[in-house]
Amino acid sequence: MKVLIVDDSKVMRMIVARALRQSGMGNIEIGEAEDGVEALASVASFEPDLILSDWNMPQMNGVEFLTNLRASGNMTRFGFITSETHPTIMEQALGAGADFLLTKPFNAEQFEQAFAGLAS
Amino acid sequence: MALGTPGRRLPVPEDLSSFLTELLGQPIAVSKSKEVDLVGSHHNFLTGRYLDNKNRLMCACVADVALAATAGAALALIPRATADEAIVAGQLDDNLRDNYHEVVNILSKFLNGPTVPHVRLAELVDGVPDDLSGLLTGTARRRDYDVTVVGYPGGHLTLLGN
Repeated sequence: MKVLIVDDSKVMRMIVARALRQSGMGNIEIGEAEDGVEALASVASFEPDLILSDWNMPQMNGVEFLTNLRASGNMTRFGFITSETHPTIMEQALGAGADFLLTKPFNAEQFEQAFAGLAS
Repeated sequence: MALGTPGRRLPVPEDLSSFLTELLGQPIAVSKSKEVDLVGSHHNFLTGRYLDNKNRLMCACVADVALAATAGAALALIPRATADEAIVAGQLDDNLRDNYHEVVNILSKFLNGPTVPHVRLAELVDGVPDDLSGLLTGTARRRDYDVTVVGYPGGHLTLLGN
């Protein structure tokens, strides 16, 4: 499974990658991008099965990235991992086509629950 | 701010402890602290400035270098020696600073809620910026905490919220 992690924080990309590898999802190939602009380019070349994206990022934020992705016809499964917790953020995320939203900080159980929801 | 007045809620020590424990991946003890003099103190501080949608300073997170170095190191499992070096130097290296920036960024979840204007972390700056005086002398709420992390120096944190 190929997963693209999009976050302007290097350490958060590292933490998400670590959580992925510990989640028991089997072989995972990880790609990384620092913002929405870089992520759009990465999607074309890396062709991920799943995208995990931060919300607040420079140049192009997460929801702008998702909106652009869906507008191009790309329906790759997409989850936000963000510190934003306001209900309107959740509505905006799902409205733009996200599959789930996980808030930082997350624990292993929450992480695995999010993926269990994807599988079902 | 008078008791009972609607306003931005700041986390009690127990909630901050749970948050940091989950984020840093190890037990973090947080206790209520006496108010530290942020302006006249001899400590070096780092301040996270949170702005609302009109770019007004609404909240701040002020940590001494010891705590910022601790959090920045613990987040990425960096050895204590690196945090100790930052304390001696009085400032964080780029790696610790980037890591601590993310801690302060995620901390914004405590500052937001359905009844208060949304804020976002705008920047992390060295020292205590002059425009913080509005929060320190105005009606902003304030909480001071002592944070202890096994194997790391730990330190002081102040949250301010309007």
